[in-house]
Amino acid sequence: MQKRRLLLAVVLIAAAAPMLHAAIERIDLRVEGMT
Amino acid sequence: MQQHLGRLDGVSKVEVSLLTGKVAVLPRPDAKLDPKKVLTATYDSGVTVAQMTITATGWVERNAARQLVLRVNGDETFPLKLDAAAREIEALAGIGRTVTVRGRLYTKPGKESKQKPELQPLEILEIVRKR
Repeated sequence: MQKRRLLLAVVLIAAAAPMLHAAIERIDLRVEGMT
Repeated sequence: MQQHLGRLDGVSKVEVSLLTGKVAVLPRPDAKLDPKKVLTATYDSGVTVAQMTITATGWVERNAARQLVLRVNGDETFPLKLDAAAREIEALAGIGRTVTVRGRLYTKPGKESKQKPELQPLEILEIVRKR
């Protein structure tokens, strides 16, 4: 039973791994009229 | 402007260069940055946004309307401007591989406009890496 839970956890983590990397890393703006 | 942007959700740091007019907005680790809110907050601070670009990692997909999009944070998708660069990553659509791109989300329209700026289709300027 414990082995199955461990296996399930490994599968879920592996499935979620690429999602952890998806993100906006930075936003760059060029603006006019800044004082 | 630095205070306007610094108050937004997910913002860790705002770097402003008065000399060049360049502003960089960096996210907190594991936080979501919303480009639309960044664009609006910049406009609301009283300056004119000439251009906004993002560097982002996500998946290339087709949405319900069969448009090519970059999915970044689960529910956040950006329609891609269909040009040569978009065609280059079109093959990644739906196969679960991520891609990191730098792209333009806003360019000031030629004519003067009093309306709030709106995001435009993501024009890929550089494919940083494919995984």
